Amino acid sequence: MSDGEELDVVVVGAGCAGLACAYELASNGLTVAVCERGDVAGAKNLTGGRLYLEPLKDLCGDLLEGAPFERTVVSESIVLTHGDASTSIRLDHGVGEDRPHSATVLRAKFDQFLADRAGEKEAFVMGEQRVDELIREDGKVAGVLVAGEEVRAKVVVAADGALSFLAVEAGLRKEREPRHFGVGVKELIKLDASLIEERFNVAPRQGAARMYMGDVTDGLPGGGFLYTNRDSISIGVVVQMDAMERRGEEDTFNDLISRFKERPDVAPLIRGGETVEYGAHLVPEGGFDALPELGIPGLFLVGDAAGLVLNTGNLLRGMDLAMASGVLAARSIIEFREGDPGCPECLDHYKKSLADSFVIEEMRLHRKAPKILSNERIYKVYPPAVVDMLRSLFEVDEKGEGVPVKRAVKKMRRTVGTWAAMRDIMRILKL
Amino acid sequence: MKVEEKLALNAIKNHDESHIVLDEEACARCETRICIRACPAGLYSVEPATNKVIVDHSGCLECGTCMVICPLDAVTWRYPDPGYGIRYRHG
Repeated sequence: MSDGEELDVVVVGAGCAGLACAYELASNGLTVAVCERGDVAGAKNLTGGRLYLEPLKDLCGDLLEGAPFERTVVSESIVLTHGDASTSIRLDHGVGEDRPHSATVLRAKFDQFLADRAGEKEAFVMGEQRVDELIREDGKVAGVLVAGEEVRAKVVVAADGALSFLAVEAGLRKEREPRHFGVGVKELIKLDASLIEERFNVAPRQGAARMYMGDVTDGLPGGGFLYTNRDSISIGVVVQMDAMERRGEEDTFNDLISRFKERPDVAPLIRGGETVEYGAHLVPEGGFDALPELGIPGLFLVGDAAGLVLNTGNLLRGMDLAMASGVLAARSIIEFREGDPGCPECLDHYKKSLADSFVIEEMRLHRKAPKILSNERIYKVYPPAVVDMLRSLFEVDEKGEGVPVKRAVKKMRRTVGTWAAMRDIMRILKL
Repeated sequence: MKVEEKLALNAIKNHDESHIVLDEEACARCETRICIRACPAGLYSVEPATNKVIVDHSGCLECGTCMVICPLDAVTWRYPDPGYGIRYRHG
């Protein structure tokens, strides 16, 4: 490849965006190489996490056939935490195995599967290839440098993740702003499948997803998460990076995650499990208004590199947006294969098809979400207020008296402030 | 469980040379030293004898938090050389 022969496309990064792109390109007969800095696909990748499958049916149906999903999510909870108490809203829905709504995944296995599928279509997926620089010629990107060696291509697809050094190098992102990122930390806890099914009340191959809000993040914007895998549990926290800046205490992430695991409503779920891995990853959470330009001629950004993540509080989506963007980039390149896919028109084609797709439409629809979710009252004020109100309703004191609903609600209204609460609720309804 | 114990569970091959380099001058005038509590791996600390912020790159999870959060742009951070660094077995 270093003998000057030009590829059609070089994809940087073997994550779900890059591999979906490579698969689509190779399936259509284009010559594609995927440069991955880890020794194999997935080696550097981390998810919470779950993949929403419905949006990918048309775009990636063939690629995802037989994918190693962990469990189909049939039980969803949002949990408000306050001290040793919590209250939750839970939805149990019987999504069939044949039509999963979303599935939990582990990236080492999942990305390797995608890489194998791309390989079957004759994309070259190469590990230990760190791309250090872009090659630019005649006002466009003409390839990349890997360990000083040129890899030339008509188009470079930057699927190099949340930090995207290529987006920065190309001037598409001036600097990485803390307010546009969440820091995610996750532990993987091995646990027998039968225990998982018993504790979460799910059938084999079915699983649960839980989101926690409140003092799990010490009242900082963000939350805790728990996903069941086949024979393990993914548990962790995500905290908005700029909120960490505003905070003075000496708590570390390990303190947060350790306290989360010790909660009386969490500890029994993971009891007897063994932590086998500890990871951290950034989540681009800036939303629509933080999106960079999606490329320069000859360079297309996809997935996390393009900031394509949607966090609405109840939904956290990244991988489906990543895979969709990878496929759409590939299709634009395929559209221009007879001419020059490095031309500005091809990039415009990609921008337009992404803008017309659910990826950008959903992000635009929820463009206010990052701002709304950075309101610390959501994490500091409401979870304690709701938990305390409910607790008072279920308590009988020594005088033999309970608290009437009316009084409990009145007390809660005093704590949260009626007008402030109304304002916040109005905002949250815009999510 | 201490963070060191958790890091010890990971598959990782540490390079002799650090992929994280600090601008000592900038660090010396830094008031927040936010890297110390922001790093999920707890790799940043203050050297008691000198009161300098130091970083031990072994165990780095390669998230990039330190580079992004540093208010003084004092963290020069690159991906470890191929063949080195974290290798997520589960992810």
